Order: sequence, then structure tokens, then C-alpha cells
Amino acid sequence: MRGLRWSPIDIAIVFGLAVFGLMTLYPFWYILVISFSTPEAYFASDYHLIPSSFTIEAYQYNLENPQLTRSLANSIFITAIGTTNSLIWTTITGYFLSKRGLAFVSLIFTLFLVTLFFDGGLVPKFILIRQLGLRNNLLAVILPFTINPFFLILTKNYFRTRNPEIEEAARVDGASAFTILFRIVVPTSKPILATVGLFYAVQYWNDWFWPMIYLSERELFPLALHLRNIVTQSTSFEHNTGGIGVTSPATIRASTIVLTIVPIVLAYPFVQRYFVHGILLGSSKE
Amino acid sequence: MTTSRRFASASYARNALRDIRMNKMLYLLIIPPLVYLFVFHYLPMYGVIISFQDFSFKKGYFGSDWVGFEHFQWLFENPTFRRAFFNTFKINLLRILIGFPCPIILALLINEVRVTVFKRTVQTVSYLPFFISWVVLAGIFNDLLSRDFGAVNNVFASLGLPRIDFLQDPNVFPFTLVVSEIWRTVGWGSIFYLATIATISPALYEAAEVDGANRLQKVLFVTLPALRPTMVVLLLLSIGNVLRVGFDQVFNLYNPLVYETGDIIQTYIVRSFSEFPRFSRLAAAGFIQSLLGLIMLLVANEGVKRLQDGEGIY
Repeated sequence: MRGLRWSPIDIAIVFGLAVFGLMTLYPFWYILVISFSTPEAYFASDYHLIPSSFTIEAYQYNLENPQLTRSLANSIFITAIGTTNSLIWTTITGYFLSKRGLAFVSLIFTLFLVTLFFDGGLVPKFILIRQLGLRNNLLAVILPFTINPFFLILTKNYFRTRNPEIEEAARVDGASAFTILFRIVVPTSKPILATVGLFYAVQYWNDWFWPMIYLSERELFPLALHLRNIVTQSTSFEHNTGGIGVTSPATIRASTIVLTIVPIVLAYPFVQRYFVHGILLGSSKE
Repeated sequence: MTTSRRFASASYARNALRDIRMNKMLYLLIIPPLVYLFVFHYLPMYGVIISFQDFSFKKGYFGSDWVGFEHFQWLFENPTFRRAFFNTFKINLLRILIGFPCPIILALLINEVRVTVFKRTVQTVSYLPFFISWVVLAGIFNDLLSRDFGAVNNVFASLGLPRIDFLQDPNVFPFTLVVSEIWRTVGWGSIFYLATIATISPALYEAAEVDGANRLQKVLFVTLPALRPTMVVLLLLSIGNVLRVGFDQVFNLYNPLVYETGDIIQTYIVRSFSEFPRFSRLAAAGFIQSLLGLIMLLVANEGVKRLQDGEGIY
């Protein structure tokens, strides 16, 4: 498209989208700048566009806070185990459901679909977890979320777009379903596995709600729930005092926020090139 | 008739058995997911019966006393629940009304950009907020939108405009919810439109050019009509989801000052759950929400089916 002349409309569109992009990024930049500010600079600056001071005090405070490091460890544990567990079972179930010829495929698929439409609600789930003895156990925020029906549908649809000939050849050579799945199908389905894996990881990393319901011991809190406690406490504090007397919490809050976002922002560019492709292939009805 | 049906089901069972024998490994692999599905998704559905009981842990599902529709009646007579019920609809309809056109406009604008690097960058940036949880965003917005210190109000003040209490003024709060949700999801929503645009045949644009169409006319008469089916599906889907969305956002952004316009069914349930857990009553509230949500989704799906030659969303 080289050599095309730029009309005023082109310039207006590019300008508009640039403003939109900056507006999308600004809140993140804003919090990043605050997290490296001194408390004095925080109150002195109006927009936090350009850092006027630089200190890592807020991060030091946070990384020396045992509650934060424990929460970080819990989040890493939940995300690592949860994502692995979810990916394995979603792949297996998606593969099973992609086999149109099997007798029970449509029945089992319907059983999964129903859960998208109707769910028992908060109270029965809480009672179930209590009766299973999983309260205050990290498994309570991992096991119930093993298979997400949306991601299962994406995976199933993606597997259905695959060319069945290679699998057929392996089957003729005597490979078992297990071998075919993990030796042939999985290595050649990277876009969908990366996409679904990212979604699961984000889901586990961001979850604060179910931990809030199922976990009451502070040592078990994930980072998102720890952050929520800081955010709600400080706002009610500011509210009660009319904003007067609030000192360093803003910078510490900001640095906790940055620590919570960083893993997602770091992983994002690597997976981003897969996910648009993965979603679109997965969501097309063959 | 009956004999042939019996015969058919017998042969179906025989086929199924043969099928299981031939694909033993696959069926073995599907057992754990089925157990999971039953325990974590179907058992809690059964728990819905406690909304017709006076549930206590001591007496359990089977021993608790039956009270019929008492909890439902109590809820609909309770002004707080009624308020939450109507707020749920108000906030979400406002969200659809204002938010629905935004990803379409964004997709159309992105599609007009001819510099690939710029196009990709805008897209990448625009998807990012979708992956950030509302806990984090609430932490940011509490600061950014604060009346006395927030950057947004500082801009207003420097322009000589009055400061607005985005998070504590009950008249403004619903709009704060709507606009911040648009900010978070507009990029993500544009993916589906951009994908549809990518499938439009270039021949259509060439034909339009031959007919003397200018740029705007090509958008109006080629691109937009091609987007119509996607629009209909996404619109119906968001109407069907009215009762199911918004919890994370509201629960992290609201405060007692804005309950009047900001409290929704789910926040009502969760707040009552932690303040004063009457299990049966809250289960009833959850049941109302699930059931109405289900009905709305089924109606929406039926609508999509009608418009798309029998192909529903699900």
C-alpha cells in the first residue's frame, strides 16, 4: 500500500485511534507512575503523566510484607496447578467430543452445555464445598473450575477442523487413543492450547471471588484477594476520614496493583499472536 | 410402533456397547470429567431445593422443614431485593444501549487504517484491559476517578468545570459503571466484527468502486450490511446475559452511598451472604436470578435461530 496519498480522513482516523490507544493505556501508566512515587510527589502531581520522583520504597515495603509474599506464592500455586489440570482435562474432553462417530458424544456434550445455562448458585456450591471438607483448602478454588464449558467448546470445535487422515494412519499402525491424543493431536494444536491456556491462567490468577467465599484463613489468600482487601479497606478509610490523613497507602496500593498485573502483561504478547487465530477457528461452526 | 421402537433402542444399546468396546481408551478417559461434572455442577443444582426449605446444616437436605414459596414471597416484598432486581435490568440495559455500537465503530475505524504496524498495535493495546480483573481496575479507578485527587477531576477543574463524584454520587454511578465497562471491553468486542469484515469478498468493494461509491458509501453499503448477522447475534447474546453479568465490576466499585442505584441481585446476595447468612433465603434469590437468566438466554437463542435458518448460538 506504499505510495497511497493520505487524505484528511486517514489522518483523522489514525489520530482518533491513537487517542483511543493512549486512553486505554493511561490508567496503567498512571498507576505505574504512582507506584514509583514518593508520598509527597503523589500529592503534588495532578496527572502523573511524567514521573517527578523515583523510589522503590513501596515495592520494598510490599516484598518485605509476609502477607504479600505468601499471597504471591498462593497465586502462583493456584495458577500453575489449576491451569495444568484444566488444560489436561479440557483437551481430553474436547478430543472425546470432537469424535462425531462415538455413540455418547451428543449426550455428554449436552450435559456440559446445560451447565452454561443453569447453575445452582452460590449457596448450594458453598454447602457442597463445606460438605466435601474443602473449606480453607486451595483445592476448593482449583477443582470446581477444572473444565470451563466455553473453553471446552472452543477446543472441541478446533479439533473438529483438523484433518483426520493423520490420526487414522496412526490408528492403523496400532497407536492407542492416548498416544494419538498426546503424541499427534496435542503437538499440532498449539494455537488453541495456547489460547485456552491463557484464558485459564488469567481466570485462576484473577480470581478473588471464590477464594473470598471458600477461604477464610489469611495465609491461603491469593494475591487478587489480598489486593481487594487493601483496596476496600483504604477506600472505606478515605471515605471515613474525608480523604484527610491518608498517607502512603496510595503508593503501596499502586505497587500491589502493578505486582498483580505484571505477570499478565508479560505473558500477553507471547500468547496474543495465537489467541485471535485460536478463538476464530474455535468459534466457527463447521 | 412400540415393537419397532423397542427394537430400535435394543439395537442402539448393542451399538453403544460395541462402540465402548472398540474405543475403550477414549471412554476410560472421559470418566473423570463426567465425575467432575456430576459433583461440581449437577450436585449444586440439586441444592436449589433448599430455597423451598428452612435449611440448617444439622438437619441437612432431607431433614430440613419445607416452607414452600415463603422465601420468594419475602424477597419480593423486601424493598432492598426489589431495588436490586430493577437495578440489574436498568444498569445492563443502559450498558447495552450505550455500549453496543462502540466495538462496531472501533472495528470500522481500525479497518480503515492502511498502515499495518499501527493497526496491529492499536488492536493489541485495545484487547489488553479485557484480561485485567475488576479488583485491579477498581484499585486504579478509585484513584483515577476520585473527586478530590483523581486525574480525571483534576482535568475538569483545570478546564473550569465542576468536579464530579463518579463513585459516590448515586445519579452518576450507573454511568461510571457503563463507561468503565466499555473502556474495558470495546477492544475485545471488536475482534468479532473485524473477523467478519475479513471474510467480506474484495469483489464487493471493487464492484462498489466501479459504481462510483466513495469511502463512506462503501462502509455504509458493503461493510455494515455484512456485519448485520454478527450484530444481531452479539446483541441478542448480551440481552440474554443481562442477569448474569456485571457482578465483578459492581462489587468492586460500589459503596453504601450508591446502593440506591448500584446494587444488583448478585451483589445483594453476596453482601447478605457475608453479613447475615440466611442460606435458604439467599438460595432463593440465587434461584430467581438463575431461572430468569435461563429464560432470557433461551429466548435470545430462539431469536438468533429464527434469524439464522435454524442455527442457534448454542
